[in-house]
Amino acid sequence: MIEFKNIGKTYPNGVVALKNVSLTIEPGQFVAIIGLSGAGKSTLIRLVNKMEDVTVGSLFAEGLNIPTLKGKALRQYRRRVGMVFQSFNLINRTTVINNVLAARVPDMNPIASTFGFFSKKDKLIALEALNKVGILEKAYIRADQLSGGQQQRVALARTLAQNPSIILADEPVASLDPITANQIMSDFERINKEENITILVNMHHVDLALKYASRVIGINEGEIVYDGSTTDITENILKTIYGRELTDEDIMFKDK
Amino acid sequence: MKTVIETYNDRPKHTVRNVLISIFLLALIIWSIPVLQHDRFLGGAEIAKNIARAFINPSWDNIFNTRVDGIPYLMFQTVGMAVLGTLLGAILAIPFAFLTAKNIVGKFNIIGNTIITTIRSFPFFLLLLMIIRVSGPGEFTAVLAIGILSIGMISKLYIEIIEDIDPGILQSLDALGATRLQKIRHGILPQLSANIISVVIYRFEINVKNATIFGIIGTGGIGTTLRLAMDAGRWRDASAALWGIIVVVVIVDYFSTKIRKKLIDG
Amino acid sequence: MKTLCSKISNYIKTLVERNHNFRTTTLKDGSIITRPFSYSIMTLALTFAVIFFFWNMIVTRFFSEFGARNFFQNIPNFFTIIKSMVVDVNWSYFSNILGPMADTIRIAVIGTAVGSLIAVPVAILASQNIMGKSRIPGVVKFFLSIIRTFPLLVYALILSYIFGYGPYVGVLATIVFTFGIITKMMYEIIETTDMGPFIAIEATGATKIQAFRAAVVPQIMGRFFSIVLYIFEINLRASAILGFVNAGGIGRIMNDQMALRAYGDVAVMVLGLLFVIIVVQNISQYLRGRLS
Repeated sequence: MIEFKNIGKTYPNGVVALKNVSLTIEPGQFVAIIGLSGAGKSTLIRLVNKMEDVTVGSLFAEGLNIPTLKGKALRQYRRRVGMVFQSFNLINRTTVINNVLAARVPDMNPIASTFGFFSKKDKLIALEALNKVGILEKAYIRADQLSGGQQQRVALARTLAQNPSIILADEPVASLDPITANQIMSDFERINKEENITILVNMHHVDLALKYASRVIGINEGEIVYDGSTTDITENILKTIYGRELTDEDIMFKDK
Repeated sequence: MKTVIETYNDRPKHTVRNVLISIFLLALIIWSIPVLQHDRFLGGAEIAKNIARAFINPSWDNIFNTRVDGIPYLMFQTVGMAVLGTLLGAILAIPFAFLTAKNIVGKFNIIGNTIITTIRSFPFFLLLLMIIRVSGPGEFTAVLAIGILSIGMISKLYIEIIEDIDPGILQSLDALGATRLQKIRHGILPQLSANIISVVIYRFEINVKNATIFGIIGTGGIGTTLRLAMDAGRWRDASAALWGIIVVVVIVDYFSTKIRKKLIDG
Repeated sequence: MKTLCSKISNYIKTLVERNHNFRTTTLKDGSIITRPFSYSIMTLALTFAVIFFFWNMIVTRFFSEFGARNFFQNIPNFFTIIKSMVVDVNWSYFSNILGPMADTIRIAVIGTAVGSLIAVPVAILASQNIMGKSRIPGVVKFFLSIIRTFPLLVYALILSYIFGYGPYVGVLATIVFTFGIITKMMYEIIETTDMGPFIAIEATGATKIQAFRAAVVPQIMGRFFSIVLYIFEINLRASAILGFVNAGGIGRIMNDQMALRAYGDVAVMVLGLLFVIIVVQNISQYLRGRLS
């Protein structure tokens, strides 16, 4: 469970990214965060695994006080939180399975991890993760020979190999074409239902968010302006979130 | 709207600059011509004929001789000097490179840069003579010289590789809870390894030729054999050494290109 | 005989199959994946074996003949030499080196100039895309690859027996060496040039040479001069050794002074050389910047 209480975040250069944000996310929910670029969506997500620091307010996740975590405790917490990035962040030169195995590194003993000796158990975990996202057959192929969608799946498999309770996704489909984006979002949906992992996605494509998430949080200029189920969203509410009419850029499937 | 003539007249003209550069270069060349003057063409034509004949008909015993003074052994020795020397240089260059890469030391890279440039500009002939003062004229000396000389180029290429690292993967490793050492080992190293091997093999090619050159100066391997044979007028033995060089260089170049291509393309 | 052959082939088959099974993993839901055969362990082992072999051949033999104690005792010599060079710089020796330094530079200038000039027509002959279906490029490239196998000093050595002593030999050697490298670099560039304009101009009735001049030259001229400058820098450094085989330049006296342990004199030569190299590098950088 993730609990934000009166969270505020101001960057060193004076920019106020979040103001008075409070929300609770129950385990197993699939939450989409939408809003304009720069509204604070990315910051909100990155606070959860402490990639960004809280300025004011309290943040609890998995029973831990996040802002106080440091060093080993922080690392151990991050093991349970997977993160997927817009730019995939894979090691291009090496094989797909080596990329997924990187997720097992923090749990290995130092000698084994320095030499890259992964145990059979670790390799099985990696292969199972790849199987869960449907690209098992690409396991031993170099990562840069895969398509964008496939690469993002490798990134997703990498988070699954951590056995996380929460997965954060920062604009996971922004670099992908509509069809592949759909596939990745449905992968998220499947993982959320089958593995009961809490999923927190931030994205700027409204139609995709509404299609796959069960709960939507709308952010405008650092404040939450909507927090409710996808079914209750109306055009007016969207206008409040975006502060304007929706444009083509906010929609993934343009002919709908 | 300019007319055609006006546009033509307004075209960028670097005439003055170009003329100055050309004059400078021409002057340089004219000043250098005296170096072509030569009085002694001592029995050259005869010797040239002998050398040419020997080239087509080298000492076949030397070529197939498997003992210590045979060409194959000398070829291996020369390659060996290059292998060990390149290895030495590759290892020594690592700290230099890491201390001079902009994304690691920031503005302080000017110190490392100066050191590396000094090493690269030092006349390599002299370095060899100095090392001979330490370990005598032998193959090991060549290894040391090759190693130290390689540091210059290899560091420079390492630095290019290091500055090209994609930081994205480090973010991912951070997010899943890796320690700093683990981030280096699993985030940075995999990106570097293929390129490092490529660089080392490239320098190895050059070092094989250097090993030959050092041999002519006197540190063993095929170069020394070549020199001694030619000094004694044993053209056919010299020719055998030359063929040895050709074979080694061709083989090394072929495999080097193949391996480096495979590393880049996967 | 037949049964023996079939027994062997069966055995090999079982080995291959066992290896395949070893590399295969089956997952919980029945999916299978086979890891491709990894050459990396073999390569790694081979590399270590090679290094070990050469280590024995050279390093172990050295230490047994020369002696480890001897070696480590001599290491300070290296630093003493550097110290002498820095401390006792003999500026009065400067006048002695002007002549040889000038020779070194001249050798590089003429060698590079002539070598690159000759390289141009031969590079054209070696370019398949200009020569069309002719077999000539193949032959030319073959001879070029042989010419390129020898480093500069080898040419200097050979030529010194034919032409005697003096900078003339150095110039000839540099010409041959430069010719080899530049021709290769040029034909590589020509062969990757856009041939569209060339074909278009040929179609207007121009000869191959005219078409080349009009369509290809503008595209490659910048890079040509850039390469020539780069090779000039290399030749300048290489010129310094030519003296060792009596082919002119500063190498001879450097060797002599080193032998006399006159490190102060050597220091002056190094400084002179460094100065020239730095000047040339800067001019070269400026010119190469202008060319692009």
